[in-house]
Amino acid sequence: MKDSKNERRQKNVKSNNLLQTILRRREPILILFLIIIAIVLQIASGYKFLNPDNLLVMADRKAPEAIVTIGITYLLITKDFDLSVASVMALSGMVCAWLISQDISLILALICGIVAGSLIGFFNGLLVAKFKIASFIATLGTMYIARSITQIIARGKPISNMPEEFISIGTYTIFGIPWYFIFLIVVVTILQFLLKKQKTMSKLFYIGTNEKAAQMVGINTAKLRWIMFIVSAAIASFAGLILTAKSYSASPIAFEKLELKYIAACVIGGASVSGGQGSIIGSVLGFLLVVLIGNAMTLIGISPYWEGVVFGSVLGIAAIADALSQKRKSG
Amino acid sequence: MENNIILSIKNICKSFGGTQALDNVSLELNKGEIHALLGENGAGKSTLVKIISGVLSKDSGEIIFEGTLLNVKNPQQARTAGINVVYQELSLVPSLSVAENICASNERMNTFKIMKLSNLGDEVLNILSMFKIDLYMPVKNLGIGAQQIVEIAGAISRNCKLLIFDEPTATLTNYEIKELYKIMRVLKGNGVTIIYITHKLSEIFNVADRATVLKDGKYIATLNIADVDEKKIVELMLGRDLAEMYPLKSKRQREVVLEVSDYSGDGFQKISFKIHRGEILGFAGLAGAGRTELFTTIFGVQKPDSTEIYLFSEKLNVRKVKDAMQAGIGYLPEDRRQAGVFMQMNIKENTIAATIDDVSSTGIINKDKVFNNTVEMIHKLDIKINSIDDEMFSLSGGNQQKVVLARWLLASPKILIVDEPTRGIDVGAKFEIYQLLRKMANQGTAIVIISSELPEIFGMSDRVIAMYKGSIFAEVDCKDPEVEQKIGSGIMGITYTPMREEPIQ
Repeated sequence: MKDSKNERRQKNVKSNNLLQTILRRREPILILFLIIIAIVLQIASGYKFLNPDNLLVMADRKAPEAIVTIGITYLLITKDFDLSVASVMALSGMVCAWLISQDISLILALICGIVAGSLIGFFNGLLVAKFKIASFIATLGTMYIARSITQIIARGKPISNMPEEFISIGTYTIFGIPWYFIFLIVVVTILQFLLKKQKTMSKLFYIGTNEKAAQMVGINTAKLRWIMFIVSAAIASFAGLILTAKSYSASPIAFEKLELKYIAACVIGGASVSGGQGSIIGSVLGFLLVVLIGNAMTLIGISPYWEGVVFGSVLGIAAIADALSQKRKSG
Repeated sequence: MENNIILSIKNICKSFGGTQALDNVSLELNKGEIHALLGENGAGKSTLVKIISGVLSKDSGEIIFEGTLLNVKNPQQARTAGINVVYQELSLVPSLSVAENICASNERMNTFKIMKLSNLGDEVLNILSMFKIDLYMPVKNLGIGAQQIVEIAGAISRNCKLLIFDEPTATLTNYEIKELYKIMRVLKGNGVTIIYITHKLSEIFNVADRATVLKDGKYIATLNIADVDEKKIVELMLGRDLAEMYPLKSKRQREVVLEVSDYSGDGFQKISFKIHRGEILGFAGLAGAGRTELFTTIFGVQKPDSTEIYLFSEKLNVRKVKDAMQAGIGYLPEDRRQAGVFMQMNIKENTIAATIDDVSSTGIINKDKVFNNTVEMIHKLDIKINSIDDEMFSLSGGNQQKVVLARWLLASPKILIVDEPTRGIDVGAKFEIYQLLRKMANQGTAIVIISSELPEIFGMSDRVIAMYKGSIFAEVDCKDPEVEQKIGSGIMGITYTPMREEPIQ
């Protein structure tokens, strides 16, 4: 480290210092907002918010959903978009639950659930990366298809009476902490670390910034975009299974309309629909902010009808911040 | 004589930021003449035209048009005064018909925003019938040449006194070019004055009466075409530093690096050529001659119809860009903004874009390698930056191009294809890029240079190939004293015969 610093001085090439680097990022602002909301919540709840039990309940409920934002972030970085995630979550849960009800072994049923969801991702990738259909339209289509297949399997009714071992996926804890919360923290840490350092992941940014130019430096853009659709769907399927286990049943109408909330969370977290931007930790923090805002409003006693106004405004502010930085960049 | 002058430009200056695009330019146009405006890219031709036509405002100086001071603030006002421009990029609405396009461009024909097709006028109808263009055909169904004719017809319909052609022939076929000359003569006969901008000097001898040469924003000379030859004009355009601009050429002939034989694909047919170690091979041709298509196909961007390519006598099978890169081919794309630069990414990321895999071990990018490689290139190419972490959009066009070039230098290719390497960059950076390319060649890299600027091709290349409509038309060694004439006619699809071309009747 010292060596390279000396070298910098020697060669008279300037690098950005830590402060400049931090100022360019979205995460510090998000953390600031989160702290403010946490303080508000703490006071409004009569100092009950920041206690381990309450936080654990929140982590338990929301951690599986936060995992979904990881895949969406990758897609936003490559300038793609996936509306089908919530349908995929429901589909994988339903496929798994149905197979269990047909007395198929749990492991096999879980694998089939993830495969079924990933298949939707495969088709998304096929349509978008291979046939060059706009991802909005392609995934809108697969969103309906996946939801419809879920309903066909369910014949319109939820599948309940899940065996205990399946339910335990949603209840298993390590030192009293839900396993998937720990999983989330570990995965987010690793993926965030790798995001710009791992060569394949760094290529996603090249693709999202300028796909044509990425092609011209030998990046297989269609293949990587395709893979990311599958990855996003697989992650969503995985989260769908956990949430299905947690709710003791697979419902054909589960998770409806959540996809837009996840995409919004990623945008609040610094990802941009114009591509080439986004971070794993940013998206998860963005999701946390969305959750906390809802929580805060309930605690303060604002009517839930107002949630959309507040949520939409936060998204608007994030989008304006993005637009301003884009404007600066093109000018 | 005095009242014969339609346009008089006096001491026009214009600067963009630090660069002086026009420096005290004065010029007079006679009524009813065809006046060629010549100069290299960046000489100030376009800027001057944009000022006359109201697209840009001048910093100082005055323009007198038909005896009165012209002070147009937008193209609309210029049109009203009778000044029209036909640009290379067309401004037609593809889904509207020919007649609708002409009317839409013409305020005079729109009453209450309703187009009156009957008002087209004889002159316009004559021209369209001359080219057998159907009035009711949607413009998108016309060829690019015919679209240009429609554009010209639109200008004529607007009571045109001064018509400016900004490189109209770049996209036209030979036949269409000849027809265009006919139109120009007809217009001239009707008293319209024409300013004609072109890069193809041979053209002006066919149509122009006089020519004005600009260089680096300065007025150089106005000449009677009858009194000069092409050589004299080239000398004026390039100035004295031609010899200094381009580095010395190599003398040695070395082993063949790449051999292409009977290679066909989308946009080119039956191409055969060889390129040697340390050689710079120029590819000349008009837009649409298939040069870019040929080399992007070799580079693996599109699929060829046949695969007869040999690299060091071994058959090369390129199915994707990565294959070409692994075989040692690099490609500097024609359009820097579209296909070269990652604008919102930083200089480091842009510099190592083609060598991400090389600076990674076990999948993780080595930060120090990235830093050192980038710094090395910044010094080697003298790239002007503030911070190495700045995004690319903070750099000038020339420095951006150097970063893209640095990207390929790091990949140390055996063959580097550079497509329009100096388009839109300043003279200083141009010079540096020329030196760098020659240095790479001297170190053994085979370089293919594709350029629409013939002086650049002749200045840089050891050998030149002219392409015309997807095929190789001529191949000439640069030591050949007639290389310029042979290639110049080759790109037009004409076999050179050492006689001055007869003007077309």
